[in-house]
Order: sequence, then C-alpha cells, then structure tokens
Amino acid sequence: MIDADKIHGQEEELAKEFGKIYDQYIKKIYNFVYYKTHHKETAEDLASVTFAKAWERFNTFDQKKGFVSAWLYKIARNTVIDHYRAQKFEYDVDDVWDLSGNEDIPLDTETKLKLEEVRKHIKFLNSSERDILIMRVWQELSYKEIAEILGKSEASCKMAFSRALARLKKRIPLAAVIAFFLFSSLD
Amino acid sequence: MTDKDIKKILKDLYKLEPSLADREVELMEIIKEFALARPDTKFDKKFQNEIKNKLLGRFLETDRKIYFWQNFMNGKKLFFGFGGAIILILIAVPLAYSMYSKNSNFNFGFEQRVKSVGDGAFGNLWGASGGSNNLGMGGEEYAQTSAAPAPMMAENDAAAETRSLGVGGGGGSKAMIAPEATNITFKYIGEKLDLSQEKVSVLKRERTGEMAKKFGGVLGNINTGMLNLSKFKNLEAQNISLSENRDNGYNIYFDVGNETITLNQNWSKWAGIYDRVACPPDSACPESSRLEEKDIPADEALISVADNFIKNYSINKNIYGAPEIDKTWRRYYLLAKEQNDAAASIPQEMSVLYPLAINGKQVYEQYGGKVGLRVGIDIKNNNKVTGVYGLETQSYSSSDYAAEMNGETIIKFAEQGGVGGSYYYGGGKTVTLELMTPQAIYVRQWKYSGMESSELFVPSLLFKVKEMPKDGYYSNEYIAVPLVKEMLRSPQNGDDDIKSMPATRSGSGSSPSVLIEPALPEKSVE
Repeated sequence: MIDADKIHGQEEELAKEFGKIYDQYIKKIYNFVYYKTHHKETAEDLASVTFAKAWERFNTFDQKKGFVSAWLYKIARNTVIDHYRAQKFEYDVDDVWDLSGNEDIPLDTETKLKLEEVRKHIKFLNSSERDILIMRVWQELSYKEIAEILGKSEASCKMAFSRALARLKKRIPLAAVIAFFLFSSLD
Repeated sequence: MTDKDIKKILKDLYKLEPSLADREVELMEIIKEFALARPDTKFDKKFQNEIKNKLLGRFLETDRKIYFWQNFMNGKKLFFGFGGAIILILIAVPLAYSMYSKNSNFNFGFEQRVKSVGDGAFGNLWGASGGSNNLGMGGEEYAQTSAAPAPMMAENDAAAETRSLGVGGGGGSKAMIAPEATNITFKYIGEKLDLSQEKVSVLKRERTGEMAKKFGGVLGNINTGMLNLSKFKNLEAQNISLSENRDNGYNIYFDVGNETITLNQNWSKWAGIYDRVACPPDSACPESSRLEEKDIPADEALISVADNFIKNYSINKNIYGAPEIDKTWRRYYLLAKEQNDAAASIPQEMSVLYPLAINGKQVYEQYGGKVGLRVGIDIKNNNKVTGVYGLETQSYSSSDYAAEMNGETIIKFAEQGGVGGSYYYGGGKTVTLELMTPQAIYVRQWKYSGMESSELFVPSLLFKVKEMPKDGYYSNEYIAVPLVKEMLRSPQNGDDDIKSMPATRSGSGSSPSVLIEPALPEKSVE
C-alpha cells in the first residue's frame, strides 16, 4: 500500500529545498543560456527546461559531491547544445556563436548589434573555450566551478584555454594577452 | 564593472607581468570594452515566478495541496490542475497520483540517445526498402485519379469526406478521364559526388520498455475491490488512453508498445464540429461551407497556433527543428485548378511540422514527407488544433554497414528514379527531370521479420528535382538513394531498361496512407 502522506511529506521538503536553489540560480542560469542563444524567448524556454530537468533529478543529486551551481550549469549547457543540435544545420552547432549569421534563427536585435565586434574574435574558439570566457568574465565563476561544469580538471581547462589563446593571438594579439593574464590571475 | 574593479584585475596582472603597467590606460580601455560588451539579458521577474509556480506550485501552495490530498485519500473524484482541465478516467487516479509524486516524473527517453552496436547488426538490409527507396511527396488523391494509368483508377467518393492532414487534398473526389501517361527520366546536373566514407551508420529505433514498465508499476498498485492488481507479477502496460472531460478537450493515447504518444480531439466534447466540415467544391453545399484560398491562414498564424498549443500542454519539442507548414497539398491543388478540375480542393486541416533531425540530418519517410512532430490545425473550426502526432521516444542503436563509395553508382540509381525505379508506361511522351546536388539525410524504413518489424534510419542522399513538370503527371519532388552498398540493387536483377510499374496509394487522402507496392518479378534474394 502506498503511504501517500509520507511520500508527500518528503517531496514537500525537497520542493522547499529546490525552491531556494531555484531562487538563487534562476537568473544566473537564464543569463548563461541567454549568452549562448541571444534571444529572450529561447533563453526562457531553455532555462525552464533546465530547471525542469534539475527538479526531475533533484532527489538523486548529492550536494556533498559537487557544487549545485556546477550541476545546474552543466544541465543548462547540455540543454542548449541539444537545442541547437536538434535543428537542421549542416554543421555542428553548440550555441549561437557557432552560427554563420545567415540562418533563420531568432535573435534579439540589440544584442546582435552589441556583440558584432566581440563575435568576430570569439567565434573562432570552440564552445568549451567560449564557455570559459563567458563564465569567468561575464558571470564571474571561479575556475573550480568552471572545471566542474565542463567535467574537466582545472589544469585541463587552462590547457584548453591556452590552446585557444594560441589561435586568438594571431587575430587579436593584445586581447589574447589580456585574456591570458585575466584567466591566469583569477584562479 | 567599475574602474576600481578593473584596476584590481590589472594589479593582479602586474604581479605576473610588471611591464604591462606601462600600458595601463590602453589595458583599462580594452577590459572595459570587453566587460561592456556583456549583453542585457532582459531577465524577467514574471518569468521567474511563472516557472517556479509551474515546477513547484503544487507543493508550495498549501491550500491546493490539502484540497488534493483530502480528495485523494477520501476516495472522491480526483481533481488536479492540467490547464484547468479535469481528467476523470478511472485509470487516471493512480496514474495522476503517481505523476503528482515527484519521484514518478517519468522519463520515457524523448531525448536522443544513440548507442553503437557491432557492424551489420540489423541483418541484411536489402529487404528493408522493399526494393524501393522512392520518396513520394503526397498528393495521394491526385495520384489516384490523374497520375495513375487508366486501369488503376477507382471511384473514390469517400475521399472527399475524409479530412486529410495537410498532405492530401488537391485532387477531386470522383474518377476522371485518365490523362495520357507520361514517362519520366532523370538527368543529374549537380556537382561530382566525392564519397570517401567506407562505412555508414544505420540507426534502429529501440524501444526501451520504460513506458511499459513504469505505467505497469503504477497501475500494478491498484486494488479495485474486485481485483487486486498487486497480486500480479511484473505487470507491463500495453496501451493507455486518457480523455479531457471538458469542452473542446483532447484524448491522449500512449501506444506503449511503440513508445509513442498521440493527441487528438475528444470528439464528444466538441460541440457542432460535424457541422463545420468543409464541403467539396463541386458538391451542393452552401457557399459558406467551402474553403477558398483566402481562408487559409498565414504561415505565421498557423505556427503560432501550434506553438501555443505545444507550450500550453508542455509538450517537449526540444529535439525537433523550427516549425514549417506542410504545403504538399498545394502543388496538387494548383495543378487540379490549372486543369479546370472542378473538384480541386483545399484540405480542411493544415499541418505544422517540427522536423526531426538525427545527428544533424533531416529524416524523411520512405514514401515521402519529412518525419517529425506534426500538429494538425482545422482551418474551418477557428484554427483549433485537431491533434499532435509523432511524439516518439528517441533511443537508437547504430550499426555500421559498408558504404557505396562510387559516386557514379549513386548517380546511376538516382537517374533511374531510386532503387525501385521510376514510372514507365512504355508509351506516351517522356519528360526528363534534372536532379540537383544531393544532401545527406536519413530515410525511415521498416524491415519486417516474421511478426516483428524494425524501424530503421538509413543514411541516404536526397536529390531534389530542379523543376517539376508542369503537367503534374509526376509527383516525386525528390529521389533518395541509400548509401548502404548492399541496398543498391536493381529490382529487376540489374536489367535497368525495365522499370517497375508505378506505385499507387490506397485509402483516402488521410495521412498516413498505405502504399501498395506493385508486384515485382521474382528475384533471388537472401
């Protein structure tokens, strides 16, 4: 026989706990998704999917084993990748930065114009490298959190970024130098 | 980011590289510029509250919670929020209880997963295509009445009364005088094909059994008083249906065996719907019952209807691409009109398609049309959604097969109209259609083995016809040729000069319809 009261009591506790996490992270996760989609409605859809997935799996998440922030970012990142890969592009697209600009994808005009210059430089990075840049500079996450989100060690994150720098250096030498020192100094 | 923040960052930089201090002004400008490039995300507090309410509202709103549990534990009717609707079917009680429980948020596998298995794991694939890989693009009724040769034509009055899902329509309901048959040949005019892959991966959709087990697990806890289901072991559900008991409600069908979900109108709750059936143009209906081109909503409006429905019912469309309107019917409608066919008709239901892509490649049905999530919209009934089709679990196994690496061979098959050949009537006039450079796709095909069928997705090249013949006697806008070497055999044991007889479709214009393959000469296949 199902003990409905007991089950519901446990769920209510979980819901309260998840509610606090939701309030704490919804804006950060939404922002992260927005930085990777450049479209408000899409970001809202994908952020809500992220939290729906997180809620679905919340009872299996062990907070002792990792940051809840990293867990949420990881789900968000995969949700964005799934969103773009499910579309009919003839090449790999992980986020909006991978697009050529000729696709029929909704973008917020203001954001598109504002990021035109930045886009020229960072579209040559792969999606992990771009995520490091976004999370560290625009979202001010620690290197430890970034490494956990990307499922890599801190050292390998730095390695990946240094490889990206080697490419960027040819295009924007000064910016690359600054970025290198920014990331090196923010550990 | 303030100047103070930037200076702090620079100060850290100087510790690593003191010479940078000489360029502080320039560095500050660049960092500031970079920080300023951060876009305004337009975060909406209302959105925050809405999502929280959707996810957790039922747990955090005490009144609703007590109301629910009191009713549930007292064995009264179960009421719960599903867009304000009430689901009353007895089977829904334990099911809803379980779904209400967070631990039972069922994940049936609607996210795409592909698991590799050994080479050639799906057996010989020649039979999978049924000797044909042609993509017929709808227009069933027209095909029956106009495209097929005279002996194959049939009276089909019922077709006009059956509402098709945006792919039929076009042709008339009554048999017409058969036009002279037209032979079709193809000529490839695209770029040279460079096929370097030695193997291609064929996919097979796998049923995980999760849906059967989870529904069975929940329902297996019921003691009805007459029968205690918990006494049965290892129960698995077969098919489940639920209905919204409200005006303009919907039915939800879970085909558990095939792991698909379908929605359609709960007819008993749609008042007067039979009074608003579009009449065939040549019938004695009132003017107001006929559909004209001006009655067709704009694409954006149809897509908006579909999007809103999907959003309102929280249908997960993450794996599907941007919506498009299926306009297959239009070609046949225009052709019928050109020929002054009084029975040229506009389908009452338009279809919004969210196309499925696997591994970035679009998926086509073997006999035409893109595979995906379809939303039917009744344009005669205030653009109400009639149904949602094509929600399927997305677990696949992937097996490598030897690929055809000779581009000329692929082109040869394309120019003969696909593996199954093209229509050839032996007389009449001949039209040559030009084929353009192909794109890589998957073609969904069924392989039958005894009583079991496998749903395969075969990597193929899709050749688009550059310009369709104006007389409309040919319906395929595409030719698909599989890249799997063993599937590339002529149906007539290599006798390319003899083409197979044309295929025709049975039934009305409703989608999907069954294609009756013509009899082929006996051939030795393993």
